[in-house]
Order: sequence, then C-alpha cells, then structure tokens
Amino acid sequence: MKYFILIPFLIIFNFIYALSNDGEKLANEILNEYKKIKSFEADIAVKIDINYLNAPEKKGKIYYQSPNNTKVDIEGFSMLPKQGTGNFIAEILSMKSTFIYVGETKLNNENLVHLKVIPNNSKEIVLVDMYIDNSKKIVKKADITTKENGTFYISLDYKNFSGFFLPSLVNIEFVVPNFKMPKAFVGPRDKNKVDEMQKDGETTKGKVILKYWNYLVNNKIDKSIFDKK
Amino acid sequence: MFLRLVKLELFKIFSKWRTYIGFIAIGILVPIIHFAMLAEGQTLIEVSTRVLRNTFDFEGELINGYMVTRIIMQFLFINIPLLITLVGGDMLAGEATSGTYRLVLVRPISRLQLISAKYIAGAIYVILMVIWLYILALGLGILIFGTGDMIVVRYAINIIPASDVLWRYEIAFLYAIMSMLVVYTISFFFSSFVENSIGPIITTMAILIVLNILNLIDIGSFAVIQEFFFTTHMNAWILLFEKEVNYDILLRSTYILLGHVVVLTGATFIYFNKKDISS
Amino acid sequence: MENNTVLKIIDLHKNFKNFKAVDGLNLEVKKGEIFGFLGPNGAGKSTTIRIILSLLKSDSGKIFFFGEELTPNSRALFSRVGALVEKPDFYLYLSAYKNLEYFSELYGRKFSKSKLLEILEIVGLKGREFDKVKAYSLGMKQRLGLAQALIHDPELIILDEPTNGLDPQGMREVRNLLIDLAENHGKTIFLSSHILKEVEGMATSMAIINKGKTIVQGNVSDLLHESQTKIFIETISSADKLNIQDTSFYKISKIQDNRIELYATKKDIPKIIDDLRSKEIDIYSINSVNSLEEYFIKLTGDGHVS
Repeated sequence: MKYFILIPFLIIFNFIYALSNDGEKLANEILNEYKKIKSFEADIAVKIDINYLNAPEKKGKIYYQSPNNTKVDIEGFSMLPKQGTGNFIAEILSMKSTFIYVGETKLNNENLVHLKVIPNNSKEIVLVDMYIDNSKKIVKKADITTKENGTFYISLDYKNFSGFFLPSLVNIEFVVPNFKMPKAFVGPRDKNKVDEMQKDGETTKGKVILKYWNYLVNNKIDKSIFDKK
Repeated sequence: MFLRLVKLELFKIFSKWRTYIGFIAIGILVPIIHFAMLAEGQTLIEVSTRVLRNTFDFEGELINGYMVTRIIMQFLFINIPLLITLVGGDMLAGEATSGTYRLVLVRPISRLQLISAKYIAGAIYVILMVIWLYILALGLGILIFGTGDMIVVRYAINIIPASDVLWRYEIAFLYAIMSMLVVYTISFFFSSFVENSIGPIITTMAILIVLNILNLIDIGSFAVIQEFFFTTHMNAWILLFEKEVNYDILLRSTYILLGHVVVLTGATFIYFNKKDISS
Repeated sequence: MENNTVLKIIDLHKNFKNFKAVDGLNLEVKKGEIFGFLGPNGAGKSTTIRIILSLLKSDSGKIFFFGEELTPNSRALFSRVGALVEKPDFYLYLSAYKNLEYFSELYGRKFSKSKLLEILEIVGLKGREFDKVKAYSLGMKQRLGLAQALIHDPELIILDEPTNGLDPQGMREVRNLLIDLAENHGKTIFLSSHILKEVEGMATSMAIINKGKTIVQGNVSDLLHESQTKIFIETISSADKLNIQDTSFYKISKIQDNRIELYATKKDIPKIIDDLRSKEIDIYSINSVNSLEEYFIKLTGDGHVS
C-alpha cells in the first residue's frame, strides 16, 4: 500500500523528464538552425531610448564568427547592451543548460513555443525564456534574466537574407536605475525640465533598437577584426 | 583721436606686469587640467555614466578634446573672473593712485572719450584672455586627446556627435566673452569711485564669491532672486550642450548679462563725467 | 573782453560740503604776462587751478580761455594750454621718454623722437630720458612735469609750484626758462607758488586771494610801490625817548633804542624824513623792506590793506 504514495511522484517526475527531453530536443533543433550560420557581417544601427539619455543613433558594422566571436565596429563612442547582440541565441543554446519545454503560447497573434533555458554554469545568465516559431525554427522573443544586470526583454524580427532567416530588427527592453541630477548643478535652471527629471521611483524603463541589413553570411572574416580594440 | 586713445590705453595695460598674471595663470592651469584628465579622466566618465554601466558595454573613447574643454570651462569660468578684476579694478582707480589724472585730463580730450577708450581697451584685454583660453583649452586639448563624441551630464546624459560639437563651442566662447565682460564692467564701475585699485578688486571678487555661494542654495522661493544674479547666467553657455538647445533661456540670460553691462557702464560714464578729480 | 586776455575768471564759486573753497573769485590774465597766483594755505588756489583745468566742477561762474568760454564741449581749447598741477605724477613703470611720448600723443598727434628728446634736454633730463620714472627724484619728476606742459608749444602755461623739489641751480634754470618763454616767445605763464621770492623775481602781474576771494590784483611793481611797506629808520640818538605819534601817512609799528619801525608807502619816504626832521630827530639811515612777502603777510596775515 505504501508504494501507492510514490505513484504521483513518479507521474510528476516522468512528466518533468518528458518536458525536459522535449525541451532539449527543441533546443538542439533551433541550435542546429542557428549553427548553419558560421559567420556573418552586416550593417548595424544602434538607437538607444532611455528618457534621461540623449545619444545619437550610431551606425557601423557587426562581425560574427562562430562559436562566440562578435565584434561591433562603430566609429567613435558607442553603447551596446550587454545582452542581445550578435548570434546570442546560438551562444545561449550552446551553453550547458537545462531546457524545459513549457508549451505552446500565443504572442502578438503568433503561435509560439515557450522554452525555458536554465544555464548550469553561467556567471551571468540565470534564466532565459525563449518564444520560438517552430515552423521556421527561429526565436521571436527571448527574456534573459541576469545575475547582476536585471532582465533583458528581447524581441526579434527576421528577414530572409540569402536563404537564411536573420534578425533585421532586434528590440531590447530593460530597466535601469533612475538618473540623479549632479549636485553641483551649473547654469540657469529650466524648472520644467528639473520637474520632469525628478521622477518617482528608483528605476525607469529603457530600450535599444538594433537594425541589421546588408548581411554577408558565412563569408571569410579576417581574424584581426576581432582583435581590434 | 579715439582710436589713438584706445591704442594708448592698451599700451598702458600691457606695460603692467599684473596684466600677464591672467595669461600665465591660464597657461599653467589648463595644461595641469589636461594632465589631470589624462590621469583621472576615465574615472570621471565612469562616475558620470555609472547608472548605465550595468546594462551597457561602453565602446570607444569619451575622453577627448571636446569633453576636456568643457571641464576646463566649467572649472576656470569660476576663477578667470578673479583674474579679470585685477585689470578691471585698476583701470580708473590706478590713474587716481598714480595721480596721472592731473596730467591726462588737462588735455584736449573729454572725460567721455577717456573713459570710453579705457573701457574698450579693458574689454579688448578680456576678449584676448578668453581667446587665449579657447586656444589652449580646445586647441591643445584636441592635440592631446583628439576629437570624438562629447558627453555632457546635466539634466540628462547627453552624447553629442563629434560633427555637431564645434559650432557649440564657438557660440559658447562668445557667450563666455560676454560673461567676463560683465565681471570686467563691475570692477570698472567700482574702480571709478575710489583712488586705490585694491578696493574695487576685492569688492568685485567678494560679490562673485557671495553670489556663487548663494547660487548653491536650492530652495524654491529663493530661485526667484537667483534669477537676477549675473552669476546665475554666466554659465548659460552650458545650455549649448543640451540635445535641444533652449535658445529662449539662452537669449534671456544674454539679455540679463547685456543689461548688467549697459546699466553699469552707463552709471560709470555718468558718474565719472561729473565727479571732481581731487587726486 | 579784450583780445589779449588769455584767461578770465568771473564770479567763480565752489563749495565742498559746508566749506566755501572759492567764493566769488574774479581775475584776468593778459597775454605775455607772468602772472603770480598767491594766497595763504587754504585760500583756494589749488581749487581754483583745478577748476580752471576742469578737474573740479564749479558751482557757478565762468571761465574764459582766449576769449572763449570754457564748456564741456570746448575741450579743444586745452590744446593751447599746458599745465602742471601740484606734484608731478607719472606712470612709474614707464621711462621718462615713454611718459612724455604718451602724454604728448594725447594732443592728437605724434611728436618726433627728436622733438621729445629736445624738450627733455631743455628741462635738464638729458642722459636720463630712458630711465624708468620709478627711479627719478622729486626734482627730476618736476622737470619732466615741465616738459609735458611745454611739449606742444602752448600759449598759456599753468604751473603750480614749478620749482618744487629743485635745487637752487634748478630753480634758477626754471625761472630763466619761464622768463624767456614769456619775454621772447610771447607765452603767458600763470604760476602759483608759496616761494614768494621766486614769484617776486619773475612775475609781472599777480593776484592775491584769501578765503576764496581775490583781495588784490595788478602789476607787481605797481602794487608793491603803492602798498604799505615796512620802513626801518636808524636814529642817531635813542628814539624811544622821543614822542613820535602816528600820522596820516605813516603808522608806528615799533620803537626800540635807535630803531623806529613804521608802515608807510615808499612814495611817502621823503615826507617821513621831513616830518622826523621837523621833530628834531636825526636820521642815521632809512631802509624799506619792499618785499612781496611783507605785502603778502600784510594782506593775508594782519589784514592791513592800504
């Protein structure tokens, strides 16, 4: 009789095992698709949208060489989000992780599959929620939760470049600490602006939009590009 | 004749050693600040942008000649006025101290001509001082640090593209000239009352220091009074480094400073024209 | 106004707070005169000179240079005037030459180097032209002061204490220079000095002022001749036993032993001699102290005016 108590646990365990198995299978399928891209270079535009940051849109070039070399070459100064550039999907799926198939879901009228990725040994990433278009084997959305830098909510649009579905628009949202005006404030005050900047709360939302175009896929890229500072 | 008078006044200004104190001071201070930025500039950038460092990787250099020049302007524009009072305060009081009014004013030149020539000569000195600062700060700064996008932290963190910076500095330095002319005019004004240049120099310095301290008081109701301090508006050049330049505020500050110059110059001219020369 | 009037002051007034420095002063200076402007301390001399030179503003009154009224718009008149007011002050950080060059350029033109050096030589500064004025003695500054007053060949030269700080040789040089300028070059000299002997030796006309008013003005020799003079008479026998009383033409000041001091005009000396002889007083010698100093003290000191 006492063995009957084990049955629910066995059922749940089997269920989780099955989910994990399905998750790993899906992850491998997606990874294989992304691994077809061994290298690429493309034009990139970076636009940052945070209410207290006024930075111009920056244009440059992005280079990727598998497994994990990404170089963004923008003249002068640029700010790039810590997550969401290059072939980050492949990099995440390549990590030793636990993959859990959550199930199907609908996002923005699209039928997507929700996959949870729990890296085993990552110093940075704690959890990734991926939403996958299973028919095209592309990740449409990825919510990356980091240990120290909060969560990055990434949505991707794709276009067909030379037979490969590659991101044309990557939208990365995040939360940043609120800006505090410097104590030694200099110059005449614009009261409206001062009031506007004294927002409540400790944090505010921000967004980065990455645009990609002019892809050259699986081309030869000079290694020295990745050594440039 | 008037140009000759201005030339003669310039000759007198540049014959005195105290005139060169300002130029030498700038010549020493600016390279010191450059050196400090070479050593600690990166820390300054990191502190200014620390709020975003967890979310972004920063690529490229934010320390460049443009950024350093702004630091120099912000720092030296508090101190350069003190150097200007050394000459401004001596323009009229110095003549009284040396007793030379008794020789100058018994010649076929009117008091109005004399005081106008003195004012203009002193103004030329001020302009030359600011140009010298411009050349050293921006010129030498670009030579040492190069150019690039410029970061300005004020109401917000502004990153101005390199191609969009130089015209802002050109206007900023013109504005700086006007700010310094206000200080010069104040010391010139006080110089007309006394027979020793120490008084107007110290009085002008005291006014600058007191008003700058009062500017730091961050109480809502006090802001109304602060609006009339010329020290509040001396730094309005900083508005030129916002993403959207608020020309309304900049123009308003310009008018307030010009107003100071016009009123004080007029008062000085009227008083000097009427006063008895007993020195 | 006569054509040869170089300077004329009409009813000049100047108050400082509650003190009347100039109180209705009038005077007139003619072309070619060496005019002595005298008065005790606080009489208003410096104030008057400063008003003439527009360093001070008068409360009322008029000043005319060369027949033209001095107004704020008539600064051009000063191109015909040279002046040295009180102690000469210059830009100590410049040389004498540079100072002179600067002050001369204020007349609207550039003087040649040779002209500047010439005037410096005339005033006795040859060899020290390029030294900084900081190193100059008072006497040297005085000479430089004269140079700046003369450089532009003015018609009227206004000098306040022109020999101040000079040694006797220097004083004589300046005196001779001023006399030469007046007699041989037609300049008019208006000078104020407390060294009455200097003025007496040079001036052809003078005015004495006190408490801001002109007390007397005129030709020096005429004034001194007409004025009461101190006369010393030595008698053969002791005079203090003699009963000598004032008369209409002399006034006894002191009688002691053989000396009689009295005041009378010079032209009455023959009458005095006759009068004393009539009183059987034998005269050993008779001397008059016919000095400007005496005249001055009389006018401004004990107030005795003829």
